Amino acid sequence: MKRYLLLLVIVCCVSHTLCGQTEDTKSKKKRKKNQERIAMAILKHRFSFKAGLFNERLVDETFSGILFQGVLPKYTLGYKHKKLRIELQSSTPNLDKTNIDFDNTFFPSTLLDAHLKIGLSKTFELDFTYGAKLNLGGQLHSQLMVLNYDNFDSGSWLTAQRLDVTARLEKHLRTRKEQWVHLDVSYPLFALASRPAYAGIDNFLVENSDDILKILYSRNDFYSGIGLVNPELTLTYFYKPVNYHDYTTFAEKLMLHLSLHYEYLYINSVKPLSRNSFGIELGLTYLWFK
Amino acid sequence: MKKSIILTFTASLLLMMACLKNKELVEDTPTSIFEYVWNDFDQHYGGFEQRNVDWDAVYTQFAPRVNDNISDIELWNVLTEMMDLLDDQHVAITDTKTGKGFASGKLNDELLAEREFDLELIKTSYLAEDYQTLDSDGEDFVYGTIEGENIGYIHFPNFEEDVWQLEFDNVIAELSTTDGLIVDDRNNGGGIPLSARFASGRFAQTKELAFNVQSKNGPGPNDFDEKSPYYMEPQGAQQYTKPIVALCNHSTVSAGEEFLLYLKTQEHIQIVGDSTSNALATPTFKRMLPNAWHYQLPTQLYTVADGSSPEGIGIVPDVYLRNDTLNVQAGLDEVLEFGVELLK
Repeated sequence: MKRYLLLLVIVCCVSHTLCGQTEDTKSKKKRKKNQERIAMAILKHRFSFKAGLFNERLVDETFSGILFQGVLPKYTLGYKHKKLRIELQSSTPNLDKTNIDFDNTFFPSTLLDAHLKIGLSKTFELDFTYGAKLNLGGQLHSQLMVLNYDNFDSGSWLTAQRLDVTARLEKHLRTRKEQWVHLDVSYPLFALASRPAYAGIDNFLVENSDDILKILYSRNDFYSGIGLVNPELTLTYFYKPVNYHDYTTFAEKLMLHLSLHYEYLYINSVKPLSRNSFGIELGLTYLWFK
Repeated sequence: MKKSIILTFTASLLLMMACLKNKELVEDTPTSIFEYVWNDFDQHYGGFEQRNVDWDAVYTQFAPRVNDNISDIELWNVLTEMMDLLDDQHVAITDTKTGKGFASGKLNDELLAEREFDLELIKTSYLAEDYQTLDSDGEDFVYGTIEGENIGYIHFPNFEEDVWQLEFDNVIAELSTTDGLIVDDRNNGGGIPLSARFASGRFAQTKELAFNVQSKNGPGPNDFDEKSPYYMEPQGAQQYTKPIVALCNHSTVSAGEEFLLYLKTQEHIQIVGDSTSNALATPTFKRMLPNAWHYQLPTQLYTVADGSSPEGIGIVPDVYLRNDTLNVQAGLDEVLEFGVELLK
């Protein structure tokens, strides 16, 4: 985690250096020309991939009364077309391999964390945002979280099918190179979620011990308001290393990005779960023009 | 503008870091651990009434011995003595640093009962030479016939899923020509309830209610969910419905006891031996403590058709008979011999 914080600082410094250069008349003309070229092309699809490390801290009262923490690698695939946005994020899906060693305890455990988000949003241009655009919308959000200690000697889970409201503030930075900053916020309106029963293991689990999907996706309860608190905040910096020219080379269709992600999750089930997640991600986006 | 972006990044980073706090329910102090464990049992354990244990009185008895200055050993002694009052092998605690473990009710009669049974003695002195062995989680599932008699013999060491299950219908078919069957459930260490049901169904003649299970669904002593009924009913390609004598002892535990609850419903099955361990309810997930100990407790309640519960008593045999440890060492299994006589 320390290495990534250091990397963040370096990237911030680099961006500061880039941003700090004085734009002369020549570069202004060049930029204007680029903008004209961009206007001629229509962005059809965006494909993205992100990889990051997330510092996870959680207390799941079904799993344990003690705090678990560890660093979890996550991978995200994204697709965007007009107002539609699809995002699939997961830590490793194989529970047999330890993907998170909680380092403050004697109980090395695994955490599988996966999300599928399908969102729609509408763009507004607002005067008070200094040229930034505001996107408002919603997303269907399917979440799967499974905690496992020692081949389920202890375990817990959260599966949720949610409707979230989303907002994005995006700002195009006017410099020699194309740069953007996005601030994404989301919050759940309601969810149908499945959590372990009061006693952790009950008859339903014993009877369905060979049908993990039935355990994870049956017996849903409705959560909303203070029963489900899950603000997510993502700050992303996009940088385009090669300016648009004629939209033919691979390099000019690529964007690099760096994201900071913070999420707090509290679900007030019969045994509450609270989780803090802070992550840093690096990624690539491929732009597909018509 | 540019500076403000960097400031936003930095401020966001600091804000996020500052927010990373979660509240632990138990701290690494003897007092906190004792309170956490006592409360956990108070709110989740399913069989206090059936075991005649007043858990509030237990608190009064043990809490004065706990303060933040006591040693690990003293805390271990308090917790294990407290748990031992429940006489329930599904109540257990382990120190993961040293591997030291404790199971309630195991120290005295359970260990003694284990010595009242010797599978090697049965193989060498009682079974015909062509007996077969299958694997069951590293232990021997043994079947064959009693030497000189047309009586079959099966020993279930546990009810874990393994090779024996794949072959079990063939075992029943092989033994179908015998006149009677010894089903030896002694020293059965338990396993998966589904496996116990799988095996018992091969001995079923009629469908009967075997028992009901309820799980705790709230902190109150009577907060249980609806009864889930479990039935003994014929399963498998064929069933063995000739006379059966099932043998049990005080080391017949958990799924081994559940197996007997199924067998007890059938007219053609007699149970001979000692009362069982009385650890029926499935233990819940292990609870982890900040001092690297973990423990488990059962959160269910078993009742039979008349509303009574085998918790605290175990499965009571139709004929009470125990082996003498010294006789076993001398090569005699009186319980098995009695079972064979019943089948003759």
